[in-house]
Amino acid sequence: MSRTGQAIRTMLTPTAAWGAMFSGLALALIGILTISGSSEPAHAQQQFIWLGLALVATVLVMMIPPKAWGLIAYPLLIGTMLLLALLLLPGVPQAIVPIRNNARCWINLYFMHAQPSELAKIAFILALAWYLRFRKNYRTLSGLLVPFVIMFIPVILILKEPDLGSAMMFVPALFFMLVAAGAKLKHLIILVGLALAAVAFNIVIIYTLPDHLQILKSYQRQRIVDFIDREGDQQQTAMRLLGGGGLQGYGREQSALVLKYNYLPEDHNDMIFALIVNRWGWFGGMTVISLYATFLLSFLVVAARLKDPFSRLATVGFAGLIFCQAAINMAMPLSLLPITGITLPFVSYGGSSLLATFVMVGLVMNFAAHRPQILARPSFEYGHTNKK
Amino acid sequence: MANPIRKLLPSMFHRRLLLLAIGGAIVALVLSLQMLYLTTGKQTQFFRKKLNARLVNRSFLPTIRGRIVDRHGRVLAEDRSAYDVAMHYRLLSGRWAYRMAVRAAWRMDKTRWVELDQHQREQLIGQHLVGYENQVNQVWNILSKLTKITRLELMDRRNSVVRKVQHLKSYLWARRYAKRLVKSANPTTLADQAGPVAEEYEHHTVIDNIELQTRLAIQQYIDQADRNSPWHWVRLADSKTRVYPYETIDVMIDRSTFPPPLASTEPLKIKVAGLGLALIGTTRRMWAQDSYLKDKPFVLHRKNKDIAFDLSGYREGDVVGAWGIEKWKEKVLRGSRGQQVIEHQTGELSRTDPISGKTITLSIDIGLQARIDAIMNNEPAQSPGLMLQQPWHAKTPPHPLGTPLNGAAIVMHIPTGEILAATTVPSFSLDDLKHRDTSYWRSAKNKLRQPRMFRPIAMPYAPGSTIKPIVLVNAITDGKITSQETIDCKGPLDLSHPTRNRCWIYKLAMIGHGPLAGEQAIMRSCNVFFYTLGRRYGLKALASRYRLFGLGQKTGVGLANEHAGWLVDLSKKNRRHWSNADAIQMGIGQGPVEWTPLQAANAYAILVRQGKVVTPTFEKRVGITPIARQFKISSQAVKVALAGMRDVVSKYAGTANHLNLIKGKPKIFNLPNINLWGKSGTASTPKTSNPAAAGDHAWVICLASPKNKKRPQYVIVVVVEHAGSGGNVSGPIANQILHAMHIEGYL
Repeated sequence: MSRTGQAIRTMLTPTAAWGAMFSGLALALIGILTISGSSEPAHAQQQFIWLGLALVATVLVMMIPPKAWGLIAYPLLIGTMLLLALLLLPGVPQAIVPIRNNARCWINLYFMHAQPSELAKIAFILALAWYLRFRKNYRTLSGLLVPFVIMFIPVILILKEPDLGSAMMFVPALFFMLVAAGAKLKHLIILVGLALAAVAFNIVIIYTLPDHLQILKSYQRQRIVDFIDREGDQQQTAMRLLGGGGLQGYGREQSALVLKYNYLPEDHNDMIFALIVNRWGWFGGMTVISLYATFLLSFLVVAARLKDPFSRLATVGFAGLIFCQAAINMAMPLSLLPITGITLPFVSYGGSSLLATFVMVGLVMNFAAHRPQILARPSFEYGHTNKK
Repeated sequence: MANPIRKLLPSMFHRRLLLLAIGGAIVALVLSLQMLYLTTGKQTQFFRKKLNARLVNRSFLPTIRGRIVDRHGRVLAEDRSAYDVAMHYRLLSGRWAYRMAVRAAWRMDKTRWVELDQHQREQLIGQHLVGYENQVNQVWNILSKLTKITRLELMDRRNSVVRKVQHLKSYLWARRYAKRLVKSANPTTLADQAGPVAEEYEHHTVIDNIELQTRLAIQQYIDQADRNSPWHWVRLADSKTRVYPYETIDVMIDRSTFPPPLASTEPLKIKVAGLGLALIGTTRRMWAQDSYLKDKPFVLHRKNKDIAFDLSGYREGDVVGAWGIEKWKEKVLRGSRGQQVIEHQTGELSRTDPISGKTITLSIDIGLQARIDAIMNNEPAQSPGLMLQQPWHAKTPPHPLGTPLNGAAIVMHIPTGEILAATTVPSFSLDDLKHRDTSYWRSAKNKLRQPRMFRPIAMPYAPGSTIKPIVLVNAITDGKITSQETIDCKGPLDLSHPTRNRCWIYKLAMIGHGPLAGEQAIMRSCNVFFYTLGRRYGLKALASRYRLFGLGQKTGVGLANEHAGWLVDLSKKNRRHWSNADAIQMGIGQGPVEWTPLQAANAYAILVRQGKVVTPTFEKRVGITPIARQFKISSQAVKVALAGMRDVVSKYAGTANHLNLIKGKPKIFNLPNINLWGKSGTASTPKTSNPAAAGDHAWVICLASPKNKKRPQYVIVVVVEHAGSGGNVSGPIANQILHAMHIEGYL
């Protein structure tokens, strides 16, 4: 059977990943509808084209068997690192690496501005899954070092762009994969505790130390201070728009009118969840949350049914990344977290993000459809003893 | 707990997936609950109110301030529509030209632009900049030509606006920085707080109050301009100007009735600048810390974080009265804003027109006031001479001849307490306020001249002999003396102390007045007579009688700067060393007693009304005059006092009967066919090393009525500071005021 035929057969194999595909498509359509009522309605059409391209990309990634993805995982990560390094190279002309909002996050491909950090997320998850698949040393504290190093390399490069939001998303993906892989929970809890302590320490620094001793950039500090003081304009407006939607929402026309006179920066992008709830109310918001829950569940069910350790971990990693990114994004207009520049997967305007998320869905559909016929030794089973 | 799960899910990987799923479910639940909290109940109502508030475009229409008119309806102050030329800060600061040049440079070399470094870009921009700057210059040239304001002056105004905005910017940055430091102890820097201010996005007035023709011409330029023309950033702003039509007027003075050395058959034209300004006041813009903002704010913040508007309330930048009537009657003059509300949801437009402030009708007759201001002009270049030091003012005039003198005059209608005119010398004009700098107002010369002080109500002086009719009336009423009883003036009060408490005639000729009854004592202004009455009264009793006549307390005329005068305070706290010696001095209007010209007029009016106290007023009364209080005065006593005062001006021995010129002794008062009573006073002032503050204050207080009315109708008070003899200095001024009142139809 030809590769195309194989791909079509793979696509048509009914699996739990279809649930994720359905959720993703539904979310993307909700996104396009919402963008059409935002301050940049023209972007809806553009997003529609991106969706088409993303679906094509989904089909394309399904043509390559899972093992091949595993084999190219390391080279893909290295290649992505090079692209990230290219963004930071001082001599690169702006025609290739344009500076937007003082950040060097994009490569100008002339037909689009690609964000290597989106590719890095995929590459990182694939590489980490490949690394962890037959090991068990991560059940020791020192064994966790290598997975963290693998994460820190792209994270540091992305932080230098600077793009804190994207860099942050590597952490939940890593934790999801480590939890699924069977890393000891007490180790992970210690690490989470340390991370929380670091956040608390940073907040103390923000309020006490002078400028030159600060770790975060001034605008990042400002967002944290605004969040604590409940002062930030963007967050307050987003919360007003979200809360104002009530249970049933304003409806299309009224919502567009309200939005016109209550300007919300990045309403079609990072803040799109506020618009969704404003237009369709709590029920609309719940639909979106439910779709993400369905998406997470679908991926976890796919992972549960898979036997191949690489596919299992990659699927869990993708699930963690997308779900956590969505949860953090939605928590911002709900005033549960300070503002960070991250998009709502599938929904926010942006080609790279949409493409990357659908590529992840395609990969998982690919993994789900390529279940090995011969039963392999079950992976990541460490029993209830504490043996390593 | 763990075992059943392990039994159900023997695979660890599956259990871990379940753990992740539960974690995901918890996160989803938290998000859902928070969303439910925000989208239901009071929260959503609050958010909707905030969101919907922005769907309403509310603009406010300025209030029209009420007019101030004189007693005959002549407009003294009113708001007039005017047009100002306002330019956007972008044009004033030069940023428009630069931005246009950047755009032009970018268009010319769009493809290469990203590759150019900053220096190359600046070079390209520079090539275009000159052209755009020339366009802006052209705008200035046209404005200069149309408004006839020099280009230099326009550049000065432009620089002044730019400087003001820059100052404001640095002030706001510093304030933001300080606020941020205090609020969150955030380690911020001043540079972090630097950002644009609203004034950088606004139009600023550079030329105000332009003429109609100019307005039309400028409008044409604006109408023809496209978005890329500098005229697009020029605007004709509809503004309101407070105008004072009588502020500067010319007055013709007939000098034929002046004292012979100053008399002339030629009338004299005098330019009176700042007419009534000290009384009427002006307006000013409100500042951020203004008390009006606290007392009656425009924006009302309610407890539930709601915002409401008080259309008659104040906000920063509003026009309010600065002083005088404008300040005193602020609430009446203020009016209320209008508002225009556009509902974006329905497209509905509703409009509430502004409510004009009410008109204030003053008791002042601006015609009479202008004449008195002209008579009392003390500028050597145009003064008729009455307020310049003259040789007949004193035996030895305290200042070189021709020195400008300061003083005040007030004319009051006795039955109603209405003040017809109140003049202060020196005064100031709007022009002075606009162009004089602070060093002028603070100069030592002005500290003595005090041009901003409204002397008729704000400057207390020792009354001198003008208090004597009050003392006599009280003494007869209280039985301290009878109307026929005489007191023998031998010169000094006590012969055993010939250097103390001497009569003025004794100082002059070493003689006494001899035995005098009350009427003659007033005519001759005998000090010994009134020393004796002071001694008979005692300090406490005399002070309490003075208090009945309004001394030592504000009259209640309403203006903020009214002075209460000074009267000995015998309360325990202020016992000090007062004795009956002070009562003796108070009997002749010296010692611990001072009154303002208004208090003097009020006291005389009370005397004429036989104890009926009417609050003096600058507002025209409507209906029956209210009596504030009343106390008993013997009508016989008033009769005696008035008889004495008639003699003062009519008999040769009267102290205000004639001038003591080298060549002759002409009568001071020469207006025929009126009833006139008067009293002069020469109040000693403390000895000082400052020659400008040397010399006695010269008083004359007249009561007058037309021939057909027997009782006095008007009280005229004139005081000239450090000038010499009361009758000789203030007498001719009071005489000219009577002539002015005759011309204006009062006498």
